[in-house]
Amino acid sequence: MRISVLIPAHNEAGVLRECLDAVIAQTLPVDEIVVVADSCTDDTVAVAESYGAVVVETEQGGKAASQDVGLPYVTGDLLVCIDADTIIDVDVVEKFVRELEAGADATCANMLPMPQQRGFWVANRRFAYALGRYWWRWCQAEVGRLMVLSGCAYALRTETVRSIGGFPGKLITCDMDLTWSLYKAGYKTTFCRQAVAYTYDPETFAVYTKQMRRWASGFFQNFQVHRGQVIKSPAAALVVGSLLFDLLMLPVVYAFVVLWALHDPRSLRWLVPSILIHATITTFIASRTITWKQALIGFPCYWIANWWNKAIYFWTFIREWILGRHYVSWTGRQGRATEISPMTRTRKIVLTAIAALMAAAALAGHFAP
Amino acid sequence: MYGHSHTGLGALVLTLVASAKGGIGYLVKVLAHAQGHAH
Repeated sequence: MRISVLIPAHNEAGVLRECLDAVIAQTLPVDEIVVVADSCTDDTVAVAESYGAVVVETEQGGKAASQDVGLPYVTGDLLVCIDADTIIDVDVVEKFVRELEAGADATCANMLPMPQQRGFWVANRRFAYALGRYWWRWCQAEVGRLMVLSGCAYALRTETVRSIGGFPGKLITCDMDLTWSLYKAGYKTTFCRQAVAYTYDPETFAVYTKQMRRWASGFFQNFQVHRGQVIKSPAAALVVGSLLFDLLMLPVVYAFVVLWALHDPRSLRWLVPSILIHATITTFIASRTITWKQALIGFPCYWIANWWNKAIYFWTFIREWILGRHYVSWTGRQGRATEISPMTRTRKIVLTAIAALMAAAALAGHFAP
Repeated sequence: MYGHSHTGLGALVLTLVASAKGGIGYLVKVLAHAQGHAH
């Protein structure tokens, strides 16, 4: 059985060396490395060639499109897909192969920020990834619908991705689109939580927010496109439905807390023990992956950032699903401008009519005797 | 939140269902293993 590694890269010379070092050092050696150099103006090609990789140069401007360009060059039976700014643990390929041989059609690693990264946003992410490893990603995998194969490190049979027509790239988050396209074709995914991959996570508020906006947009676009899958599968309905329920209940919870606080500030005392219980349980779970110090520092960062995440997701829900304005391009490292599609004329008319009807009903109710 | 983290009643329901499924799966595995030894 031949194992291939596919790495799409855009001006990644600085980090590609670390990524390839990790691939070369695997306990189960890989047979082939294919690097797709997308619109590179730095030494990415030279670095990849110095490791004996098959290098494909292209000008796509996107991850899935780059992967698709590289796919015909892949000769292996098993395909490991890694981001160029990711470092995999030495036994990741071995664990992936074991998972695929055990019956999975696609599997992915658990990710963590690079160990040397510091700061509020990184501490939040480190905690979130560590928590997800033994909580919600475990839950999703257990019910049979992993929300997304971690794009930074996953594996599948080469035939599997070829059978669905290659890597789908129409949505703003291609990894989630790939995951749900696999479900549509009847494939099974697993979460290989013992396999760990390290990625470079956003370190500043601006970059973090930009990434979250893209992820949130991708989430809503994905379930607009793959809604059939959610309706057909009880497991998918549970995973997606439970998330949407929590998300849409957020304004109700906010309003409830504010009203309650205005009515009787002392009644908010219950918040303290509830936060303490939340902190204890989640910090314990996270500490199974990261150190206690990282978990203790991470919890407050995670707790605060989570409110920001939810606000972004809630606004994105309104923009993507209610206003019909879709995130079609984002300002990533390719330097493209962020582009959000305009609202259609029909939607403008329908929304205006609904707003007018609601206003009329409210006025009628107000002036009713 | 990619993956996706969430807190609330939905997360609780998902956790309970996953735990029940995982627990039943584990019991089935243990019983099958025990039966394999018995034969």
